[in-house]
Amino acid sequence: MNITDLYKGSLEAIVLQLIRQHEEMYGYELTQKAKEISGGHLKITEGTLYPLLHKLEAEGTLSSELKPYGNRMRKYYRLTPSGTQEQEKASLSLQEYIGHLQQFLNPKLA
Amino acid sequence: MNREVSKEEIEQLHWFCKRHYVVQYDVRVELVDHLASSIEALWQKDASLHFESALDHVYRSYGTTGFRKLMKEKELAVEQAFQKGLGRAFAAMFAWPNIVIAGVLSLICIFFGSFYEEGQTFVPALFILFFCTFGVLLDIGVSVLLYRKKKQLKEPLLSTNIYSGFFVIFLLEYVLCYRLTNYLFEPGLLIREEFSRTAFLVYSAICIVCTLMSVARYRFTAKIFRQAKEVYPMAFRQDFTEGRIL
Repeated sequence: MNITDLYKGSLEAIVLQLIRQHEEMYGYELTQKAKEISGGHLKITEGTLYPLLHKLEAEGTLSSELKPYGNRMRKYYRLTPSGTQEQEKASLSLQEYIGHLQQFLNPKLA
Repeated sequence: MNREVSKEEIEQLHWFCKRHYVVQYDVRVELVDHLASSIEALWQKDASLHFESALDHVYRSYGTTGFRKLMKEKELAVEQAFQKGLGRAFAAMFAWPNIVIAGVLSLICIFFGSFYEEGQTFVPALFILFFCTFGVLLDIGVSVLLYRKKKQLKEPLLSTNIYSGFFVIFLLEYVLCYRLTNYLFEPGLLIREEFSRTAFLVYSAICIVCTLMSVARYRFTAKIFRQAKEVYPMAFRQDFTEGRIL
């Protein structure tokens, strides 16, 4: 089974977690960080990442700012106050999900 | 020192995106930064690599469809976010203090509905005809204001390129107007007096909902423009960025 597929349902929680850890991040940085932390297993494509960031921005979970970087403009995303609450909820749900998976994988612990 | 993408090369990347149908500034500016970052990452491994070769290498990673998938997904996300936001804006019309508008409109309708108790059907019917006409004019007015906002754009933006359901509201109210005129007036503009109380209630409810939708549509679309102006001031004409948006 492809490990990348397993990450799909958790992508939003992962993106929110990464932004919270770094305070503000830009698109390319997010893809590279996700790749680095997952040991190369989580490859977030631009076609997945940017629509997700736009959705989160429209929902008020993220706010963005365009800042000059070298010769170009760079769009940075950060969590809004309601986004921080969303991130905490998403993180708890993810931990709960991992707990349930553990029970499937190791029923003796349940 | 790491090699960086130059100003001229950034311009080339903008043209490259435009040539591949990414014309909207809000999508393009982020994509250009992404491409430039990917190219710089390649240069960290081989600084002698030519810019065009590096760009070709990066673009190939987007597969045979190029930027099409990204654009499609982004358009879908914008559309979904807009529909959700419009729904929320409409729902907000029933919360304090916006509910005052719905309350006032309902009271006006109740007042004209009271004419039935005096045996008059023509006054409420004529009121509904005026209400529908007002709705049509309000929609046209809102659309003119939104059109003027779009004229402030120097570069197209995906986030403001939205379909706000104007024609659905407009058509509904126009059809109501047309039906009412046929219903109330015989050929030669002779007045009929047979507008039932049920018809009055149904028409009133439709007119109130349409008016609230028009107001919600304007407020929400204006908010989108305001936010777009905050994030992408360069996409707006200078004379508009200095002054206020309508």
